[in-house]
Amino acid sequence: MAASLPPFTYLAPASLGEALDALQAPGAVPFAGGTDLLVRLKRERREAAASPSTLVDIKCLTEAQGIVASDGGLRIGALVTAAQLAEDALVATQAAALAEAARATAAPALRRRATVGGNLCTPHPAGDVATALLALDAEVEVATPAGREYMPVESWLDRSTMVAPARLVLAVWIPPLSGSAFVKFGPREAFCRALVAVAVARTTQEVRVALGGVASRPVRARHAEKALAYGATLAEALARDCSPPSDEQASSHYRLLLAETLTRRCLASLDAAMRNR
Amino acid sequence: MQAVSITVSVNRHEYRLSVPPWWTAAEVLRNMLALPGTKIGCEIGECGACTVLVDGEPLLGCLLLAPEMDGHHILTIEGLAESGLTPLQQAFLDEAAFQCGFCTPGMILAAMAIPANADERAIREALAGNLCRCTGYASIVRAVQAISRSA
Amino acid sequence: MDPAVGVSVQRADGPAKVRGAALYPQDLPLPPHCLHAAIVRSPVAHGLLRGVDAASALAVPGVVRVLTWHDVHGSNRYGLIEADQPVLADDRVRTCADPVAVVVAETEQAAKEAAQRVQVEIVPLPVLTDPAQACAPDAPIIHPEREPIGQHPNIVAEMEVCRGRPEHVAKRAPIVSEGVYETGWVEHAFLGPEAGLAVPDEDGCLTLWVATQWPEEDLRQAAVALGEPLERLRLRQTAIGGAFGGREDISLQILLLLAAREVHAPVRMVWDREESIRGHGKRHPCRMRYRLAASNDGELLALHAEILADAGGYASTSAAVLTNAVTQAAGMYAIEHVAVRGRVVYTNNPVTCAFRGFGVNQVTFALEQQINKLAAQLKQSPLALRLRNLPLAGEPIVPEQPVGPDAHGMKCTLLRATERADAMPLPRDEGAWRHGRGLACAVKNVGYSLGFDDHATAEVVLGREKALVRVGAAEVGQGAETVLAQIAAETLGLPVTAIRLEWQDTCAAPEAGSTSASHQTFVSGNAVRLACMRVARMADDLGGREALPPAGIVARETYHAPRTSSQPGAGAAHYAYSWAACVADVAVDVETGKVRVLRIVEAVDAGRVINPLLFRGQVEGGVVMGQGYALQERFHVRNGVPLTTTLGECCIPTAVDAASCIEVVTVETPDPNGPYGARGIGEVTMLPVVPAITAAIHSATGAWIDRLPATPERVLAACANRDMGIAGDAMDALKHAAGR
Repeated sequence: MAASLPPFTYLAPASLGEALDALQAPGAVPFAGGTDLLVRLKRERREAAASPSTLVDIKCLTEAQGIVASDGGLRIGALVTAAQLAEDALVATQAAALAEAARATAAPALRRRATVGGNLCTPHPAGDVATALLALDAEVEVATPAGREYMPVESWLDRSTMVAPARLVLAVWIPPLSGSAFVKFGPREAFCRALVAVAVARTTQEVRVALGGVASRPVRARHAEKALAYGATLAEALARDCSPPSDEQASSHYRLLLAETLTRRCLASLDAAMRNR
Repeated sequence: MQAVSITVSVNRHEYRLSVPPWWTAAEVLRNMLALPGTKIGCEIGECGACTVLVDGEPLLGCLLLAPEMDGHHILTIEGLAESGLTPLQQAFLDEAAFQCGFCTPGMILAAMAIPANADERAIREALAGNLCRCTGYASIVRAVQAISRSA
Repeated sequence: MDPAVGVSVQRADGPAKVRGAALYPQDLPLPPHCLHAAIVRSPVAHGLLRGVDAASALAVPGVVRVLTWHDVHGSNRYGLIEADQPVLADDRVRTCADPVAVVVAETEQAAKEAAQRVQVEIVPLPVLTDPAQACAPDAPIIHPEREPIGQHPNIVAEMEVCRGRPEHVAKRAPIVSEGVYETGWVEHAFLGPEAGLAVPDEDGCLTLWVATQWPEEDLRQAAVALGEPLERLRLRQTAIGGAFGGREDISLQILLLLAAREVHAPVRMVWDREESIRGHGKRHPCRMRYRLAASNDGELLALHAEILADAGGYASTSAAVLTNAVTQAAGMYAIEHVAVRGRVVYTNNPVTCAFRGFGVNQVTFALEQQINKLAAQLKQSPLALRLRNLPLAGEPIVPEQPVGPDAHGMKCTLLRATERADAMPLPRDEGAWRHGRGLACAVKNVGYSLGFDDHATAEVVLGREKALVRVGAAEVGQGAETVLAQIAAETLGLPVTAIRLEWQDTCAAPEAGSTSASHQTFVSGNAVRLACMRVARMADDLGGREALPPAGIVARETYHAPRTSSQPGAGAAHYAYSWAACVADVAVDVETGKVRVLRIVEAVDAGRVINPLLFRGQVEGGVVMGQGYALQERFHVRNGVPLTTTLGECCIPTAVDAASCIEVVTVETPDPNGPYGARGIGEVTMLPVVPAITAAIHSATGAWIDRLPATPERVLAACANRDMGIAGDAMDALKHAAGR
């Protein structure tokens, strides 16, 4: 039998310290649900491309688990799965966009493994959870050998290397907000990556819009946010927020059109939900 | 590259295995334990044919690493019924909820997680990750509903 | 004795499949000292092969041999119709999938690693990608070694069917409706990737364990390629992970047998999904132009159709696909003046091959859409227009194909489908959702056509209380094993449980032809029935069943399907048909173009139904496959290189996509020649779904989608461009009249 994965060393550290040490070695990567990592490794093996040599299984780390309320917001461990997000009562009330994004991700068996951290670490135009976290203005808690770092999820997604050596996403912090919603549009009704996804969030001060599928990473649509606040043309603003590609899947024009329609719908959905509370 | 030792219960038998850590659970089941009922349809989590029950939950065997099997209870299609057929397997027979049968093991195991009396929408969503090219899914939904009715 | 035909007998292979005990080729236990093979394929879509350097590959520990075309001692060409396809590339490569070498090694690991190290030296040639350019004077010639047919060497086949004076009549007709239609490649996406095991015995005979559609044809092609007598080859069929036409062509059979013979050891090969997608053919992309000429009250006067299909780099069954398309381009309508021209051409795109419907999907989409457009133009109901143009008994449908007294089956499917559909109104439009209903119908030939001797042989061993039936009909998931047993049971007056079927071994079961063309029930069913009748008569002659010897008595019969004409347009091209009519209800989100299929009503006449439960499964499966083809399935190719490489990218329907309300209406017009009146169900179920859906989209939005798949972007664009000449109330009238 030919194994589908390339050979690697497997480590299962018992503590965060051990994990960070292990991740310092060249070719070491964190391994949680594996729904992106293992697929990538299999492809690299088929293509005879270089692969990481050490998988560091972080699933034991308590620092990265759990969903707790904190200061009106939430701390969500990086190991929390999409399935858990979809079922959690706190997430449902305080970060509805995240629950909706998690429910729309992949398929049931994959949702039991796909983690918040994983979605933040795999570069993709349209990670559902990543898009929601962007609108929620989440903060990413990162463990490094030098201590904890906190940065806006937007900065984390902007970094050119998604998985820097010896940095581990431990959690995301969701600040308090009034409400949020998420909408996904894909090439089929289930079990697909989004063609375009939109997440919106309202606080007492502002409305935030995040778009997936219009760039190489999910992006905040700041021009659109201003347009919504000041009543300017949404389509024009969105065209300034992103230049989506044209490819076999869809044209740039259609992606922008979807972004506009889905943004309106997402807001309408949010406003209806907030009225019903 | 070291092999890892795992202790895993598969179909109610306990096994002590020494496996390369880069083997997937599906590969262990098929190639070490001679349980070919778990099918490989795509290898990358896009078809659901390799679904197995891990501590009662449907997971994809192609994306689970061998070391992760340690300490868990795994049921494959071969071990689903302790004897004879489970009501769900019988329902699949009665409704002819299969044709070529390749997706069938994964489909049955995924269906094990569907709560009784789930409505049709919920049934279809629970099976969204299990592709079938032959049946059009209608007979599969009927088989699951037949169980719900009789439960 | 209880009847066995018309009963929903449980499938014989059911218990094994639900227990996970059915063995597919990749599940077979490995024989001792089994070696493993991996294929090296062309890195480019078109090029001259200068050399294959296996030195680095041979240096990989565990590698035993690297085979190239020099090791092909028979003929290095195979093919189902034309032997134009190399077992291993010799002078040139013509697609990205062309096998160039096979590595045989002690482990699968080593074979795959070594395969990556084989150096293939190719001088690239210009790549021909557009079938419309294939016959241009400066087009690259894909098969310079081949004797050209027609005016250009890139023509694989062309065909014309003409009747009456269509040009003349069309010029004078008061109403003309025309359109151009385009369909793309589609991947079969059967769930079980290809795999096989070839085992030599001490005498040098070779056994191939594989899942396939026509075992004897696989062996015949292998025998020629290997230069091996056919009697020394044996094929044993395992369970099959679906086919839909995608296992008709040779995939790994010849290479495995070649490898096993060269290394004198068992050799195994398992394809992963990527290789499966790359390694087997696709549905033919087609460009079609249709023109209907009619009278003011909707009588079809003339039909013109032009069809251009892309064969890819090798001929495969393209000529037969074209034949099917051309002879069924006029569907089930009695049109006096017809001109259909079709051509299928070589390109460097992926090879196209058999796929459920075999060319008739594409023309059905174009024809039915054109009929629906005509109905809209005439402000007639799509049902009335069709009924008006159905043939009377004896009147020909496709040119010179006389329809027997069973013609009313076609009318029945239309009436019953619309009647059932009308029982439920469309939901009200809400928000951005517009609802629409569309109607279409289809005819599909059963069996091999145009003079082919379609036949099967069955052998029956009758005992006092049981019978053994040997017939080599490949089971492809549809339940042939069960259906044939039912036919045997009915004929012998035995319970189905008393019948055992042996079909998997070419050394034990007589040849039953290909499992394709929806014809196993018909041809093998008749062979089984005849053999059972004969053996039953023999038993009577001996004094009855109780008088039979313990070993039983044997009878063997070959059934030949009714002869068809080898000249298109001069006599019956096909010997049987099945028909189907479909009403589709859709909801279209006019702000995004997304289409949801709410309900499909399909009335099918495939003659007498042998097993209602299995029949229903075939209809539901075909409907969802049609839905996928209409709305979401895609396969992208650029410069001859497939961009679609994973199952996810093919985008087949999930359980959530599939229409949740599929109503099956069974019409049983017995076929005079089919076993107990049965015809064939395998393909027709898919055909009317596509145009019914596009008609429903039009009903909802006023927009015609002439290009498949009708993706949301295409639907939205069509809505934006639609003919604003149709006034609102007329559109409403059309929408609600769709079923009348």
